[in-house]
Amino acid sequence: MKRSSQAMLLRHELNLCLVLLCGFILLLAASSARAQDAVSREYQIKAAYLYNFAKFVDWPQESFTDGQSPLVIGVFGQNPFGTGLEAIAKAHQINGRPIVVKTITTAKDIAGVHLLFLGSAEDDHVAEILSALAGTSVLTVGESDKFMAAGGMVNFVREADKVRFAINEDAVEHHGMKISAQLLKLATFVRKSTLQ
Amino acid sequence: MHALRNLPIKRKLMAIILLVTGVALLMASAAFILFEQSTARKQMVQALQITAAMTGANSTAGLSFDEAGSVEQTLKSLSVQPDIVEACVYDKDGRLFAHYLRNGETRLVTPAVKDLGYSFQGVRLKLVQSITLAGEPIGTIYLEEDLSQLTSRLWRCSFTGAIILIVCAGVAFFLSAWLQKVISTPISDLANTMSVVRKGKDYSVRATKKGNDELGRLIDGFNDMLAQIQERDANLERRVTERTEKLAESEANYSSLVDQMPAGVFRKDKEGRYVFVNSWFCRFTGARPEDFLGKLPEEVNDSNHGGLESETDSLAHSGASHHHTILQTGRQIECDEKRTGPEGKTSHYHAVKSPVFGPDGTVVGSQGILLDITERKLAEDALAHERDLLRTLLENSTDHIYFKDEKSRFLMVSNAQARQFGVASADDLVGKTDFDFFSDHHAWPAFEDEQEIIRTGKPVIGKVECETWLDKRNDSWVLTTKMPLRSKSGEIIGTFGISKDITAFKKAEAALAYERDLLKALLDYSPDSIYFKDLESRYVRISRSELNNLFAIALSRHHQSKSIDGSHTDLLPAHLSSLDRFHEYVIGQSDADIYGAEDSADFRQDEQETIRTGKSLLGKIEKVPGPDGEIRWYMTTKTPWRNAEGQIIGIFGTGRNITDLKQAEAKAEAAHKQLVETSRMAGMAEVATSVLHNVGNVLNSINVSTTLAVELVKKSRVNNLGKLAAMIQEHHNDLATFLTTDPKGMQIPGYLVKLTEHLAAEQAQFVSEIELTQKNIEHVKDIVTMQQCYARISGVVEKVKVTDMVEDALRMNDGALVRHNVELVRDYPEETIECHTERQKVLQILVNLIRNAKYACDDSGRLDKRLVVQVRSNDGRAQISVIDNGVGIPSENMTRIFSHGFTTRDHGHGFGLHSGALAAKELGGSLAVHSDGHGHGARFTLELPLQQPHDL
Repeated sequence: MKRSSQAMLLRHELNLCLVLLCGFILLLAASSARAQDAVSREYQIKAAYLYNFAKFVDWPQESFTDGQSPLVIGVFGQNPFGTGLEAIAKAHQINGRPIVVKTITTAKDIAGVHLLFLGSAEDDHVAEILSALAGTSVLTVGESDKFMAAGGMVNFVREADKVRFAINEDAVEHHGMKISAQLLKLATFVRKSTLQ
Repeated sequence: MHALRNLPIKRKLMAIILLVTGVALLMASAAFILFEQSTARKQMVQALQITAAMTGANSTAGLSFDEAGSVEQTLKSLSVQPDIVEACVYDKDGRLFAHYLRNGETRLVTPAVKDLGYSFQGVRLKLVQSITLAGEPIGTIYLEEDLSQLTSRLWRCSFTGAIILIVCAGVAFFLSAWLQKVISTPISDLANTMSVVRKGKDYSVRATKKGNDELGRLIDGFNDMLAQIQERDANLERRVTERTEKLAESEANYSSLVDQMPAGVFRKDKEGRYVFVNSWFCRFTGARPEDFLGKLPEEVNDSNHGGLESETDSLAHSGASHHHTILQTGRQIECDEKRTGPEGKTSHYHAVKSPVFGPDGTVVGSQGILLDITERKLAEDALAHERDLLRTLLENSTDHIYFKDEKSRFLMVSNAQARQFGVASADDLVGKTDFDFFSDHHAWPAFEDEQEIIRTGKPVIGKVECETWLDKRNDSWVLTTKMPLRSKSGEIIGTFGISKDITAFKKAEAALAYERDLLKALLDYSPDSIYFKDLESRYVRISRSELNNLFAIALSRHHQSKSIDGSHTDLLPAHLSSLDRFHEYVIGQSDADIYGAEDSADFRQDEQETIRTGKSLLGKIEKVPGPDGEIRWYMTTKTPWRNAEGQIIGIFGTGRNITDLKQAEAKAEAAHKQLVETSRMAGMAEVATSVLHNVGNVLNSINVSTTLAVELVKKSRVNNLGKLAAMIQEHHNDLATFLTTDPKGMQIPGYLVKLTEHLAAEQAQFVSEIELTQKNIEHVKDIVTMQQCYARISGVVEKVKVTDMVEDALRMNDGALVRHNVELVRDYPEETIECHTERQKVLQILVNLIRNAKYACDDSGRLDKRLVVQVRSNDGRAQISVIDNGVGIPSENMTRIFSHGFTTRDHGHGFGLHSGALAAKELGGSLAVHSDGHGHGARFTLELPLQQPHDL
């Protein structure tokens, strides 16, 4: 008898601990979520923009095996979108193609990606990546001046509260892709070489 | 359609053409307009859709990247299309993203996103389309377009159309007006020609042919017909002329025939007017043809006729009616008519009137032929007259008249004869003979008589014959006369006869003979004396018995007188020599001649009285001296003898010898007297016996009671009282001590008490016995009184009021009823009922009934004892009913209740009701009882006649 009551006591203690733990984790998650809120808002928009960009860009035929092959969005290095990008990818299609999000760590992973995002944290690797992408038809999207200067194609720009973007049309065309004039219209800045 | 029918061809054609054209044009224009409108609409929608698509496509970027400004810019470009009123772009959540409004338009409310699609609302077209990018919808675009332009365009179109329509119609009108002439002119020409032909009956006119189409053929045909008609006309004319000639010829034949006929001929048309009369007819009627022709029979002028007014009227009338009948039936009428000629001579003619048939077989008039039959008629009439006379005779005569041929066969008979033979009519007898009806016994002699007559010509006059029949009927008697029947030339060709039926006479004769025989038998054989005397009491006819009687008396008297005379001759006078001689003698003699004057004086007196008064003397008992001198008793009846007229011509009388009867009577009288005496004695004995018997019973009872009482007194304890008194007397000195100390003395008070009790009981017993005795004595009194009542001999019949008698009876019992607590109810009717009866007897009966009722109530033991006395009158009888609600009468006693000696009461005598019933019978009434049984009371009803029978 005594043993069983002891066991029960023990069990009770255990339960309490678990509950406390769960609460802590939730709190943590919530706080983290909130903390992440402000940050992720920007990246939510950017994730949506990434998806939208794909709608205004024409890749060459070789980029896709067939009409149903997925559009691959690669995120190099750190993924600042969290689950946002995946969510969008799951929920939407582009012209009937499913969207796949791929995390890129090395240059070799780049193969098969149609759109590549480089976060500002990866500024150091920008030049390297971009040179690796020479001759490929991958739309590069970044969010730093360095990226733009290095020859990125689309660059996110923060103007006050809005997320806007600048487009290097030259680079896009150079890599064999076509970008819609509409998108160009919306861009803050379009670099286009007049003589080409 | 119907309106069109009556229009002239010209207008018809024009109307048709215009109508057709108009309809066609209208339909075309309408179709065009509708088509136009639907296409315009489609186009509008398409255009707008394109605009929307383009604008949407241009907005994708802005929408995707949340650049409202860009989209607004794009929308602004819509101002190029002035029709577009408003444009809105919504994001994929339905929020308004960008908005455009046409210059000058105001909107208070921005429209919310709607369902996809387009709709026409009034003058606006609204379109909502989805904006897609890369296969996915990213928002919606809404465009609103103003259609007023379109509408106005439509109106313009219609207006133009109408103008064109009118112009076309006008052109069509003129064209049709001009072109319809091609058809209408020839037709109207033809119509005109036809009306010309009709009006003027001019068949030489022809219509002009214009074309070779159907109209041309019609005109040809028309012309042909006219030609044919012309020809036919000509033919007909010819034929008519021919026929007329032929007709005239046949008419002439006819008239010459008819005119020469020796009979009158006339013909009337349908209305009955004369259209033809021949000369004979005119001669016959004494008039001229002009008087008849064209007139109805009534209208014919008879001024030169000379006939009777009424006759001509009736002839005219019958003529008219015959005509009508002929017309209706189409049958011939034959009749004979007579007409008084101009000189007043009557002529008869036989008219045969028949219908005149027209060519089509219908009756179109009547005709008649009159044949003169005057001479024939006269001859016929004469003949008929003769024949009628004979017929009348034969039909009505009651005698049997017959005509027979030479073989005695019937030629003709009277109806009476036919009836006698039993045949239906006289004609049935023709050819038959006597042998067919009579048996040979009569038929042969009759036949022989007739044949004798035929041979000799000598008639048989007044022969009495007895007709015997074959059919087994009774013989009949006739008085016959037969004579020869001669032809015109005088030959005997048969017989005729008359037989008068005399059966009745014969029967009467026979009946008379029979009656005579009866009388003779009566007079010859009756033991009674029967005689007829004339007014002087002289014998006219006497019976044999009386004859014998008188003879005997006459003889005895003769002998008596002879002995007185002393003559010794034995010779009897002529009239007494024999009965027959005496009979001859006595007729015409009177009683005085036979009996002597004094003895017969009474007889004569009675007879004369009877004759004088006409009243019969019935049943007088007379003393008549017999032939031997003894006295005989006769019962005589003398009745007036009247002739057929009712006058008294004498008397007839009967007498019976009742000497023996008288003697017997005397003996019976004596016996009767004895019997009455004996029965009276017996009756008295009976009464006495029953009184004694009943009284004896009661006396027994009284005896017993008194004996008992005496015993009681003897054994009374009063004696003991003496002993007691003696004892007290003994100790009168020391009474107190004796009473208190002595054992015997001490018993005395107690003993005294006991004694008192005993004495009281004895007293009661004694009293009861005495009372019983009292009752019994009263009973005896009752019995004696009752007997006294019944012993009375029949009393006086007087007129009494029924209710008075009832009241008397009730009064006699009043005390008893009260004592026994019996309720009395009187049920008397309103009217007074009186009857003739013996009061005392009725009272006795009623008293008895009331008493019985009282006893019955007592016996029932009920507390509500009731007696109802009811008086009624019914059908000539008075009914007195005594009804009680006592013990009633069980059914087994009902038959015995009126028996002598029957009683249900302990102290009853048993002859109350018996005597009562007898008394009621004596009074001419009855006593009846009714009871529903034991315990249901009883009802006794005494019925008395209101009038005694011998009073009526």
